[in-house]
Amino acid sequence: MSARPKPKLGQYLEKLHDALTGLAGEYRKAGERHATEHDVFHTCHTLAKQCEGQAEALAPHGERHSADVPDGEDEGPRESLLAGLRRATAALVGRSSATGMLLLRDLRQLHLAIEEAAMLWLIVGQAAQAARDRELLVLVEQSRDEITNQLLWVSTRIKETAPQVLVS
Amino acid sequence: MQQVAQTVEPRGRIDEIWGERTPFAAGAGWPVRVDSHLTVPEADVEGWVQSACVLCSNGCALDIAVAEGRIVGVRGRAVDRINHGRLGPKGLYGWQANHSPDRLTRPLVRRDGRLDETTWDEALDLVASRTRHVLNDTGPSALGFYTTGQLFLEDYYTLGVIVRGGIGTNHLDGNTRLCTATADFALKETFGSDGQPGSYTDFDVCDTLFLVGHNVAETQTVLWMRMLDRLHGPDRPRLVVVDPRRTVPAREADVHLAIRNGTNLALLNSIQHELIANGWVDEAFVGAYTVGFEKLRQTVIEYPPERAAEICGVAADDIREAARIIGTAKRLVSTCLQGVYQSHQATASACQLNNVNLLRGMIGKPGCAPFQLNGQPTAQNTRETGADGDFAGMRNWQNLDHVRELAQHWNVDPLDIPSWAPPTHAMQIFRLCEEGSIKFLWIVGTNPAVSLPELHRIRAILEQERLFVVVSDAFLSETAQLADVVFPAAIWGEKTGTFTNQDRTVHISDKAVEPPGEAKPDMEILIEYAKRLDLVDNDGAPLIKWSSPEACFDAFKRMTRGRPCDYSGLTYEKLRGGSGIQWPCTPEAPDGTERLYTDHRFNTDTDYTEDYGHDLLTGGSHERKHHAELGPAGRAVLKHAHHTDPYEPIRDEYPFLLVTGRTVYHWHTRTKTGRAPELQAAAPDAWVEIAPGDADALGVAEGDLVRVTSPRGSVEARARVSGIRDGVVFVPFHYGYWDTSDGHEPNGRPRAANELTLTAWDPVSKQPIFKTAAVKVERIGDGDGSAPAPMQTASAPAGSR
Repeated sequence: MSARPKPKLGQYLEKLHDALTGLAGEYRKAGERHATEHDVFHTCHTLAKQCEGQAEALAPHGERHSADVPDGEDEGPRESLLAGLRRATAALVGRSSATGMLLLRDLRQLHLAIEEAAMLWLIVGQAAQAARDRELLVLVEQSRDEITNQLLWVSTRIKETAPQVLVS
Repeated sequence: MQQVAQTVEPRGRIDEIWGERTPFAAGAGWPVRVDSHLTVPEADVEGWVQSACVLCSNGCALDIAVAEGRIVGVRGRAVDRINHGRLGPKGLYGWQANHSPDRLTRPLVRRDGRLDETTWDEALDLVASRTRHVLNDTGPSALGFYTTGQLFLEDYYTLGVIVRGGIGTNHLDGNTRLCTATADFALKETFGSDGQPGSYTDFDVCDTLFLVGHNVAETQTVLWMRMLDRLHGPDRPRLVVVDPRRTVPAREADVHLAIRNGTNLALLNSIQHELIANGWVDEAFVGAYTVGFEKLRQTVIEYPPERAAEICGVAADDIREAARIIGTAKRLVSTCLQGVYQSHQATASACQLNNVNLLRGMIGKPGCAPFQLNGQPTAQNTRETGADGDFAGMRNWQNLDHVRELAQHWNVDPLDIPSWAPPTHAMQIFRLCEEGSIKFLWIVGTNPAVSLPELHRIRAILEQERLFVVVSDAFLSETAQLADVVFPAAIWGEKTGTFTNQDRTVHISDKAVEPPGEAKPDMEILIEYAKRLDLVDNDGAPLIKWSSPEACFDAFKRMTRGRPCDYSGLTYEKLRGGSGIQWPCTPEAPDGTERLYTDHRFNTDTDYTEDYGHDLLTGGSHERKHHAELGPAGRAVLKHAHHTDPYEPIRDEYPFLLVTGRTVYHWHTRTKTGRAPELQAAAPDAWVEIAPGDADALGVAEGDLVRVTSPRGSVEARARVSGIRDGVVFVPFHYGYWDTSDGHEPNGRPRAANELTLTAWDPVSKQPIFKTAAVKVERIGDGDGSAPAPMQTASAPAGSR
């Protein structure tokens, strides 16, 4: 579709890919760590899959722009020993109000990681427009909607959590 | 044109659940049939007192027969628009619980681990002093209130004002979260506010019925009578039913889609795919009165019938046929209930039902409406009064002007009303009790120790020493047995108030008899509590300015003026003597309003809307700027979402999908129906429904004892080999432990369905998921040939008619 490969755009596609797989990992970690917050657990796993889906969809674009974007990667078993441990710990400390402070911290960190992915999508989207890369633009539009909603979710959850954790 | 009223003697209404047919054609009017049940000769009845039934969301009007200070029967009100005189089995027999010998008659307090009788003063003082202690020690956010869908509007409004305007905690919700939250949220997402668009009269004139996850024959028997009389009439509407069980409506259907539970969204996306692909969309309507069509189209285009067939486990041609029936309807009524609301992706799916009618341009005119139905009789009022996850008068918690209006009505500081986040939902209230930041929980008229998911967890939460639990109830339920203080409550028939059914019809229910012993109406208990807390307004006057239900109703209706649920034209006097009246009822529309949105202008103006909307996948709350940017400005919003897998997929160890639900003979945790002899005898104990092929494979025969196990617990009950979908098992959720020797938990045989269910909820409506959990099934003992399950309805043995 688009004319010639753009290797510098390719570099950003690689950065974005790394950010998305990193974000997916952050979601899974946060989900396991807060397994007793059942909505956080389920939503984090849903959004981890969403990030992995975006990363996967980026791969062919990366190839076109000559970046080294792995075409799917071996993530290991999802129910890894580590995840199980995190969940077990969550269940043990789930009766303690200290989990609230931890949750707030993890949600803040997730927020930063999503912001990073959002900014990279914005950058890639700008470049895709200039490169008249229609296929990439379709992916950018859909993914930016998803990332916007991820930010919305984490903000909403922080709004609910902060007053209870800090004031009660 | 109505036929002559005939009185039907309801003998055998346990077997003849829906009574005799009175078929009618579209527009001919539903004939009157007066149902009654008396336990004394009619001549002995000393008086009839106007009321309506509180054993489902239908709200059938009835008169209570009284003799010698006791309720002795009921009779349907012929004049009422809802039931035209009819009553269902629960309505006919359920009132007997009022006179049950085990009613609570005195307050109880826990001393040395035991609940002992005490005086009202001591119990109220204890609760008030504990409240003050928690308030001083931590603050309002350490108090939680969990109410019901069974009280009257006046009880709820009093509770809402005390909790949100007086105490100032955000932690107030109802068990309506379990039954009706998704209806509420789906209406807000699509139409900008709560409020059923249609009217029951739409069932009288429709030519097509589309029922999704709605076993109306058992959940709302009298509404099913109405449908059945059309289905047996001269111009039978076409009927499409979506349900994994072979329900009675499924047996009457032109197309029955017995989908795998948890796949409603994929199916509804596919039906919309077909509507678009075949040109069955009213493009002029969609263009003028909706926003979001293009994104919806891009989503549903990915759900051709073949793909949906694979996800849902039904034939692609059946999906096509269902879509053809819907797509060629002239007057389409669509409904959904718990099969949608209690599955994952609940709000997303319920919104698609709204979409189907919007795509067809079938709303706001006779015979055309999507119905987001309710579970409980007074669920609608928790939503209107702000006793659940909503703000009073269908106000938007994110809209500062709306919060200011409430503060003005209550004469309090706007900052005292917690509006920094959505009102805390029930599952989160219990989570906050679990982690310890809520230290005081008052449970009003509901039984979470049986009705919430994952019961071992709920019991452990309620048993904590550090949590002070207050329960108001009529009986010593499983939950009440775990309380620190129990208040004996007066119930229906023993107090006056109003409530609103699922098509916005408001009924009055007058006091017929005195409550037993020292039991008091909930509103009075709450007012006593507010007095002891010295809750005052900005001028130092008492926050609660009423002491009678009627004065409360008047304050409530002033507060609703100009909002979607406008009661300003209603009075107690007007509600007495005739039929119930649909809101909005105003000085300008004094007879009420049959249908909303007849001008196709919806409640989506940014300044007026009850909610700015959500992301359906995550539940992220949109803010004002997002809503303004979308700019629906009076148009309906077509929401869209992709199918996702259930949170707990089946796997080798747990190969069956569990669906929990209800039977026609019981209500919730059987607090009332288990004490009505006819109803209790009709369904005396729990059972497990399993498909014939699965039963064969497991070596299970009808009546054998089986154990159903999930990662969270197990249930043991007798097997009913029924017409349920292969791979799915059904367990009714009515059965707990209050009438066993176990007390509040299973010491012997676990039988509460919620021992099995998982702690998870829809991201938008926060409705818990009761329809998808992975379980295994084992045979553990011989039977005596028959399960204690009804022989008819969806529970009928396989191969029944």
